[in-house]
Amino acid sequence: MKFDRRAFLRLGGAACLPLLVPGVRTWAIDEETAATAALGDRVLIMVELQGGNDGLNTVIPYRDERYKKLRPKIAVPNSRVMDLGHHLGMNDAMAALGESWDAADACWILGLGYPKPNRSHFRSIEIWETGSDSDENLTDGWLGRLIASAEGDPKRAADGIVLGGGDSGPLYGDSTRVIHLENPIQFTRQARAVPDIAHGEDARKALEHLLEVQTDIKRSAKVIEEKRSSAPDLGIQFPQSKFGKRCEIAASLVTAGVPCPLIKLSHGGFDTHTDQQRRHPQLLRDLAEGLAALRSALIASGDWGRVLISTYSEFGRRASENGSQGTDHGTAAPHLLLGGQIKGGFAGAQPDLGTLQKNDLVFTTDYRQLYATIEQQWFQLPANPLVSRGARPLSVLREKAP
Amino acid sequence: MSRIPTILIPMIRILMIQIPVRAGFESSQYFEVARSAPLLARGWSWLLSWLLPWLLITTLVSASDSPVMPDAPVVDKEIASPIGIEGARHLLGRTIFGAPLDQLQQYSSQTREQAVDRLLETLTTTTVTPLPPWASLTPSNIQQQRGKTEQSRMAFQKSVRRWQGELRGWWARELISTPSPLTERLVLLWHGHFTSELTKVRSAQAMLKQNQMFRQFGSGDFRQLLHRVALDPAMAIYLDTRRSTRDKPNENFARELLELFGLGEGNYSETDILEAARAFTGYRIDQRSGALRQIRRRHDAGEKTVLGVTGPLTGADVVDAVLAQPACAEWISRRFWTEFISPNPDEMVLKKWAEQFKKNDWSLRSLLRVTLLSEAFWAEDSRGSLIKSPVDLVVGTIRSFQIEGAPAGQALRTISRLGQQLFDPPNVAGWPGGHQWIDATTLLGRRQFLANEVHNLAVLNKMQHLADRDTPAPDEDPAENPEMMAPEMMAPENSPEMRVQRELPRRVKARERRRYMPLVMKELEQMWQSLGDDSSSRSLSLQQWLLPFKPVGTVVEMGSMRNRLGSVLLDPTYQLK
Repeated sequence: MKFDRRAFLRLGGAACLPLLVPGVRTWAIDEETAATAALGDRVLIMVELQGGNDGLNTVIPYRDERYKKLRPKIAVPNSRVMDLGHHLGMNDAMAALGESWDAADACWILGLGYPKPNRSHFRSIEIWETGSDSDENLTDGWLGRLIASAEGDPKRAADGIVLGGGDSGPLYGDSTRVIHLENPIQFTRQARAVPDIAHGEDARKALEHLLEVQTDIKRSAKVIEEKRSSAPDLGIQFPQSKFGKRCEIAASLVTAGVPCPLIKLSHGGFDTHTDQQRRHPQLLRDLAEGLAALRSALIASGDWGRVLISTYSEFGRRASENGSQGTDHGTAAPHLLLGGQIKGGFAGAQPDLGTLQKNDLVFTTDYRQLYATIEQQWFQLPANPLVSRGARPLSVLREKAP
Repeated sequence: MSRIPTILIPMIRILMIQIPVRAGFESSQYFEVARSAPLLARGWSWLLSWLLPWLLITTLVSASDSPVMPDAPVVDKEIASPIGIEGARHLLGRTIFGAPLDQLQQYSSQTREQAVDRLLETLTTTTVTPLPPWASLTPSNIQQQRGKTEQSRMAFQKSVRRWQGELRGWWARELISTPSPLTERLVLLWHGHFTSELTKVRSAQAMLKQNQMFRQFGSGDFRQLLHRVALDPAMAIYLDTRRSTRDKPNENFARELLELFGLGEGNYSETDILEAARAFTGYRIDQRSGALRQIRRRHDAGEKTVLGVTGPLTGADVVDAVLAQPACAEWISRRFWTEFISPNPDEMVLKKWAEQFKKNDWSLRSLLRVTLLSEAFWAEDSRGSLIKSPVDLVVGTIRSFQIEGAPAGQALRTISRLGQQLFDPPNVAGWPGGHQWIDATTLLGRRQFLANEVHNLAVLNKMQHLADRDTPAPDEDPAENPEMMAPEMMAPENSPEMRVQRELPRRVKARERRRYMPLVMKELEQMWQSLGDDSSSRSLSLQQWLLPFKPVGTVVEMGSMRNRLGSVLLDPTYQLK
């Protein structure tokens, strides 16, 4: 539990050391490529599965006998599995994403995790959000640092938009401008009531900061309002679940062309210690239906090629079920990437059910490889040790951009 | 002597305005009404009862001051003159979250020293909010409740979560209704300095004990406080001393003791941490008492060297070694400066404070006195240089407008939404505060609170007040004697649980709003009338009361009190203290 500006600074040096982690290679920053680059009009939508999604019942090694042995009560029966090839199948609660899988714009990254896994919700999500090692404490979110490493754009409505509660998480950073929205209409209405006040000559720093933030709000609201007022209705039906509504707002922002490179959505309730057969499929269904509608909307508007959607979660769940038809906190898990530029299929490797550690899966792919992919391939930024921590990108995009 | 009449003039004016207002109200004592009195419906009479003796005292003091000591060095005019409304607002805004106008007026006529001493007199070590019934459960009691079956474990988890919620509610209630807000301000300071997070500690009982420990020692001897912190069970859970053994010493507490709690970076080495960690080994939480105790065979009794002290050191010896470092008193002085004065301490002054602090036997009260009487505290530059924390904003607004009868749960929810979850600072360094309190979300949230929620609170307060008036008070005021509140003795309607339930955040129904809003508005209008003789002097005193300096936005000069008040509260300067 260590706050750390210090560790953060230390990191600059430490990141130059070889990190003894699979998929992580030695670093050296080239001064020239490290110069700031722009993010362009690409958008990243991060979807947090709050509570720790059970990876084994999401992407299922259904042909593996050990899977059923570990989970005599809660294993997903074969009849409820959609085969994805490679002896793996997807929980059919996610059938809404079948179209995406067939169109090969969905990719499952298998076995994401980190060494010395922490099983506390709070600590582990902090690790995922900051991109830290298990025993290292960083303050800023990895995307906050990504924003800081790239060129800013004064035309942006905000650097990041957080939809539907939750904190800024990975977007957190001293220099990131993040707006939290329940809904954009309410936001613009609230912002309209904020007066325009020019910075006076009063040099008081506290007041100056307040007025700056106030100006930011006005600016974001103005851009959002303008863009939305001219946005066409795409006629896509979104599911009426909480998550579905958030997806609808995300779609409306992106299709309206609100300039903002990062959007964070959250989907809660994955801490399934009990009654998993009932609860987990429902969570996956909401997730898949929301994302499928989002995908349709973005395809209809022609934005699908500039959007990347990625799920993340604090951890996967224990390989074996517990005594109350649920699963306890675990380690590695698969995560989903969607987007017009995604090369469908799998990346990473499925953890072996035969080599568990303390009844938990052993990760195969450092979670920062996902971050490196987003940083270097999606946003085409030079690798920055403060963002992707020296991890190697995965090959999941269709084309390497020019 | 020629000064006396100038002191008297504002007071006489106040009296003249207040006398007619007073007539309609029964006399009541401040401490009693603190919880449920309606907006401005109280206070004039006790104001009067204070004002008169003060008039005498100030008259006498100023009469005896100057002529009797002709050879005394020329006293700074500022120091010897009354602090005025602005001074009172500055002092009370920084120390007790803000205050009603009548309280500011009382302080306004005093000199700095009188005002600060008067404020310090209010320090106490007790609370008025009845403790939750689970407060006295020991770890073994709790273990029993847990049970063995899956079902009982789930029920137990539910209770744990309920206790956690009630713990937050309990403190929020205390912050809002305490007669000694300065005490709670210090508890909040220590909670942010010697942090523990409920999400890790989990035990509401242990966190409550820690909170009470801050109250008991938070204005006393710092040495005692630091020793208590090292032996605090919640801390032992939070920073892992309870798991630290001779074979596997855990550095967590040792590191923070040196880095964040006692010395600050640069005043110790990594070896000091390793060695100190060895000293803090062998602690366990006693399941019967809930206290921390040391188990000899798990403790590393070998020789260690920490901060230049060598021997078979125990945890307590390490705490003493920390206290012996010159950096320690300076570290705490720095904390007081940044907490009460500005983000930029003057290093030379800190050194002086540290010396005085030690000379005064580490009395935190005297350190606070030094802080509040410093030139830097009163300097024009420091006025409005700090951003209000969510607690400052919400509790301060509630207390300033005397709507303490509003549900604490509502206030709690707002405070947490604005980024300050009580009992859960973001990490071991506490709330970073300052600029970090304000981002686009929290600023809109703050405006939302000031534009709407505060009116709902006023309505709920009104409802609660009227309900209290209709139900006769029980014979014994539980607030006066928390010991009485053993669970079995509590009448159900007075149990803290019931109270917390009543205080759950809720929406104000449209019907309630229609019915009670006019009453709230009436009181606002009365308040407006009492602010001065004419519209412009009223407007001025509204601003002096609530804003640290001139508003930067447009303040509404016409219309109802609600509009005028709204424009003052929504001015960006109201976010500053």
